[in-house]
Amino acid sequence: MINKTLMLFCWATILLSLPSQAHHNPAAHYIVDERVEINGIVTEFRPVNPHSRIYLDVTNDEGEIEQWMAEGDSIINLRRAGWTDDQFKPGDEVQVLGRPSRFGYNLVEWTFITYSDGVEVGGGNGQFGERMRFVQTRLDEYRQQRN
Amino acid sequence: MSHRGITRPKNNSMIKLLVILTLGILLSFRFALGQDSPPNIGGVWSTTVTAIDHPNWSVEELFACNCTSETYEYLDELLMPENDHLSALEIEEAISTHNRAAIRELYTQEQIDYLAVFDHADDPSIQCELFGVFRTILHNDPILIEQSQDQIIIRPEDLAADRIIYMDGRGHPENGPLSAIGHSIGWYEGNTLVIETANISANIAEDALNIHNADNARTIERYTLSEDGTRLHGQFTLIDPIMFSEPLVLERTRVFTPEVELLDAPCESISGEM
Repeated sequence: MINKTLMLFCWATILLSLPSQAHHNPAAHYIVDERVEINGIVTEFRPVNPHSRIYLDVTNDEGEIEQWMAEGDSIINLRRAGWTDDQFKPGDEVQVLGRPSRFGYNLVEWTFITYSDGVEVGGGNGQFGERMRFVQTRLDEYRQQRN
Repeated sequence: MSHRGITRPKNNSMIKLLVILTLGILLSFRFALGQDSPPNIGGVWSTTVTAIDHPNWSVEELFACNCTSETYEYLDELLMPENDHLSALEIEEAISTHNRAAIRELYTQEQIDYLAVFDHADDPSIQCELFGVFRTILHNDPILIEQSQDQIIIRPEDLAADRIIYMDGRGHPENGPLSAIGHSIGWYEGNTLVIETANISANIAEDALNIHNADNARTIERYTLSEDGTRLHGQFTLIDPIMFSEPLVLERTRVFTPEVELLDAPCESISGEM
């Protein structure tokens, strides 16, 4: 579990430094080279363009519940990556890793979303990570054949 | 025997002559067809962003981006055996950095000044406004090309704009109104579709590359179909002497994906607040 978390952290650190595959430059609303991690309970999932949104209740260090919103890729790209319009249901517990709001709001542009049981949700802006793993496999095959 | 000995070669010669003539006619016909009939580029074409696992991509194409030719030459170097220590992610990062630098070299002072004050929060597409023409051309999502004799329609997804390309020989309207999508005319050059777009208004040319175009920019697109019909190589030129010291030329290949359907969904504007 620790190794998996460490790997996730490394991937996220690298991916956060790369340009987004989404429609808009993340600098519009987020600090591109910082990261934030929140744990919360889904209250609503909005499958829309240009960015899908997940609304969350997050319990802060004082034990108070804050409302947060995570946004990511367009729903059409998410559908293509296997998401459904009810990918998240109210009550789902999730961990969201991504970029924080540049204006100090309770917003995050997600890079990785993980369910409370540790299962990583594929697709989303994190699909860049999946893409790179696929390209790495093809690159390894290419190099083996060439050599 | 002697009669047969004389007539046989004559028959063989006749047959050979007929075969040669027939082949010649067929080849001429095929050549004529190849010259006159436009390439069949109708259908859905995808980029690596949405169809990374398509079997037709070469390794080079898996790293494809909206990149300059210099960046593609750099990619070829990175794929040489002496760079086998590099991971896919490191190669991706290296070509992204190289491409940005290659594009930055073409900035005029106007582009530099514009970028110095531009805030991405002011991107009109965040409020669901459709992309301008160059951003539409470069967008990652699949496109559907509908080809007919007098016009071509290119349908993209989401915030990219539908485009009509007039193929009937007309020119651009003189002193026509400027618009985000401009006025597009096209023609064929062998196996290549050429599209020229004029009357373009100032806009974000591409937000991830962080480039803008001024009023009256022009674009030239060249789409070349591969011999096996599986790939469409695009070369996109932005001619904008106000924002770029010389024409910006980017390239990217799409792959034929008839199994893909264009998707649609409602757009809700983003405020950057809760």
